[in-house]
Amino acid sequence: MLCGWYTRSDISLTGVPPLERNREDADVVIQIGSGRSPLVNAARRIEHSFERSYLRIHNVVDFEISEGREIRIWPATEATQKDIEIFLLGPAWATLCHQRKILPLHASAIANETGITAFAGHPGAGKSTIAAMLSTLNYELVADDILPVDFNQELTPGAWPYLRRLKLHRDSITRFAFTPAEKVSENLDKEKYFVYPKFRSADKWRRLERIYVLEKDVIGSHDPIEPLAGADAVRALVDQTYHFDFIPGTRQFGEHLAFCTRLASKVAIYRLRWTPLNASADEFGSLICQHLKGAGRDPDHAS
Amino acid sequence: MLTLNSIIQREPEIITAQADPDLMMVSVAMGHYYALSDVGRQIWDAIERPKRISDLIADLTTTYNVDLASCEEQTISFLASLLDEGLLQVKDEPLD
Repeated sequence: MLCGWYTRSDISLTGVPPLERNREDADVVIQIGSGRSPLVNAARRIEHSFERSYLRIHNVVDFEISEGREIRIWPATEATQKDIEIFLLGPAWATLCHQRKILPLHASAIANETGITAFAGHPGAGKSTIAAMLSTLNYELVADDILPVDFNQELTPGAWPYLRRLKLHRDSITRFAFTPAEKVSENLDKEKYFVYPKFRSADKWRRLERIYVLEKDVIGSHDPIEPLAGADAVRALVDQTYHFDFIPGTRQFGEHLAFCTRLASKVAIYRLRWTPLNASADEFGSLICQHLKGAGRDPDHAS
Repeated sequence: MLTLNSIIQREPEIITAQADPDLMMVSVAMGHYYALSDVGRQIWDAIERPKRISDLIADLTTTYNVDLASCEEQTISFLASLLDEGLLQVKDEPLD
């Protein structure tokens, strides 16, 4: 199950148990496409419409993503399964989320008894590192890189777990005393390894309580955690939307803005300045844990 | 070029969302996001329908403790930036 959807796939997915072969009512189907890729003569590598999107990853794979429930794949001749998986479970899956009106937040996430906390940021900001740090402090891993956020019937924001594994460099693996499972890829992202923390969230939808937007601390901030509100909070969510190309491609600016605005009004959002390589795990972990324990009593929390 | 006699109106195609205390906006045509707060937001609210700039400034000087010359300069500058971003229309026809 991925994001709460029963997923049937023609290709094996690292760390994702296969669905029973006879299950016909899968929520999401991933298939090897037959015949030639529809992108063979395409002028552009990305095309989006309401019903169907196309993504071309040069020399790796072409995707067709349809109606939020089907992904067809045309692998390049020499592409490996792991290389395909990077983009299948990245921009292709994010496109699927967009089609289902779910916001794929570019974030890692952990959970405790009160709910989910997400750490959003651009590549290299330290999303996986901070999730790794907190998982050693007994927080459950919910997601790494993409957190699919939606609202329940009571308009409470939350998320299902997605890929409860971390992609870490060797130095982070050593730093946090993890055991690497396997390389992410032999060709792409080959400096990183998959790691499966001991504590991982169960397969259930949980409330999203707060979001930290990670920024590199270049000046040695005295107070690294700063609440965001109003336009700053909304802008952070817009900025951290994974595979934002879908929005202008389908011209769903209004829906996207409304979603981010509603989310910013219901979730506490903070700017977190830190330097992943220099931060002392003990000190920073303690700072975050203390701030997390303020959840529910936080005077900055937007109602 | 905007003058005190120009009649302006906000672009009706701009999509907005409340992000209190700010107003978020997005131009579908340009794919750009904007935010307005404080006086800028008040001006945006005031130009939902066609309005002469001199009348807008008269309202602002009544509301805020600002001298007329400063208000004119800053308001026209702000409206000019809205115009540059495609967020503003200039109406040639006289007001009803």
